[in-house]
Amino acid sequence: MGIFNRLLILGILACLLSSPVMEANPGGNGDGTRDFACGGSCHADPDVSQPSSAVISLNSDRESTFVGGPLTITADIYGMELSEKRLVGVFLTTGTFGVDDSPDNSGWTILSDTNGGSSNYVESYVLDSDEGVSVSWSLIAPSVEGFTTFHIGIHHGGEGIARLADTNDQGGVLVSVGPIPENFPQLTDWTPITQRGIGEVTNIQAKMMNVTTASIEWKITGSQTISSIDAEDTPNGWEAELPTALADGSMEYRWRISNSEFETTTAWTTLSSDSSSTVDVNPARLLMLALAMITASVLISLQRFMAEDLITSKPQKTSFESSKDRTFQNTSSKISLDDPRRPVGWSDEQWIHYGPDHLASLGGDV
Amino acid sequence: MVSMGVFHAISTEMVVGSFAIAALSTVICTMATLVPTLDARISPRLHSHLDSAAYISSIFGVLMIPAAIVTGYLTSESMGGQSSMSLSKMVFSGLCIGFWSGVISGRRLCGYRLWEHRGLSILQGVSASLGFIMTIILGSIGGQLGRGETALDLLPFDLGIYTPPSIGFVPAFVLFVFSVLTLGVVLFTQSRPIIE
Repeated sequence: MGIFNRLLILGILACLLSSPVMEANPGGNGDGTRDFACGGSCHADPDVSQPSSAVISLNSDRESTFVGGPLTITADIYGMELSEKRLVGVFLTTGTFGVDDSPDNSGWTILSDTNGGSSNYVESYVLDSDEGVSVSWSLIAPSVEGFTTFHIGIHHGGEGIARLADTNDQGGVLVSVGPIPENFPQLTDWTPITQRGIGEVTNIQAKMMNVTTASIEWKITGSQTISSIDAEDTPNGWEAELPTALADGSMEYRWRISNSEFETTTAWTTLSSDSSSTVDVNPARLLMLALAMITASVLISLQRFMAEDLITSKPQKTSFESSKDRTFQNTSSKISLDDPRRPVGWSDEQWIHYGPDHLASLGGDV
Repeated sequence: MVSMGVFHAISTEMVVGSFAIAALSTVICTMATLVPTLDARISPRLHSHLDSAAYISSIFGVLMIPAAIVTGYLTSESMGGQSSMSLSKMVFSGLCIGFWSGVISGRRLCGYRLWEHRGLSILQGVSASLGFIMTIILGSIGGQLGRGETALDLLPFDLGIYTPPSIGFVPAFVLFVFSVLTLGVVLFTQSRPIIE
């Protein structure tokens, strides 16, 4: 094959391998604080997008909160068309007009999102459209009393076109923000932990006021079973230790705080025990190479040790022969090396192998 | 547009198919060595073909593993990056490569006479079986990553294969150095018997 042909084939292979990399936005745009219009993306452009078939169910854990109080918003989304990437982007907004509609524009603070960040826009991979995806946000109310209507918007692909949907027709979820009751138990200084490594001990610590008992409630994301861990009052504040994560996934936790008059909870905070950005693959790569070499070393060593027996023993001229040898054996039993019909100059091997055919061509018997 | 997942599917199917042939052929040859009645039922020609099939397909499978790893890595990148299950895949890939390298090494060292020795035959059969189990586990983890389910979910117990071993960089590096030294000692200091 000429050098030109080789280069041509290499070029074609390189094109084939690089083509998926050159797709537009193959992995979405990543989590972040975004308006529903998403900076004029294809999804928000009616000329190049279509409505989504998704069904969006929007819920909040309470209808009213207080200034600086907690709120958890949950959205269950299913039935959407899916692109090859199976990526769905979900927005939590305080409107559906597309601009300045993220909750921070209304004074709300996002403590955690479902991916362990603090963004109003999160991306999720949906394996099964019927099962869909569940997304939740933990928020802190603004410092001003009032009313806020929350909406969910989604952007995704499907059947080769950008798609979008929102909860505008449903009316969203209305949450009122009122004044703080007197002697109400509150967290005064707490930064929630939203990410941790596998096998890591997670200590949750917070400073509180008007609190006599505190505990941490936690559940595996998607599960309804809630477990509780009592917190201890230490000089550094109230402390509790969450169970260690043994695999990737996420859990949700919240404080349950009380005094003689009131009992309340914070919003559910999502704690992700793994993410693409925190996984260090280098130890695993080294481990892979080490296991491959150690396994091969042990096997090779055993094989060399046991193969010594084969040196001392003669090859068995039985069924365990190569096919070539076996052919020699099968024919050697039928043909004599001293046969006078053997042509001059033929070696023993040639005679054993080709002799029967030669004799057959002469019309004689073996 | 053909996604990297398609190339990964192609390469993994070739790996799994090759190893399935290799494992089946190797196990039959091993059984023939251990069970004389089975040996009597298998013709020498069939035995020879099974041996050749095991050897060639295991070589082909090992050669295809890098393609499966590269396409798998690129697929996971396009699906949102590496997860802990990807790390499990890496670990089991190492074991898979090790076992199948051992299978190829044994056949290359002893040739067809490998099947004359009961111990070597058992070692070859066990290596191929474990190598194929690693291949099944890798496929199962891939199923969990891609579809969220695997046929191994039917098992009544948890295999624990989706949780990677928690190991830091330094212990992994020490183990890597140790493995390099081990392989070097075996290859360069242990005498290599010449089998006729």
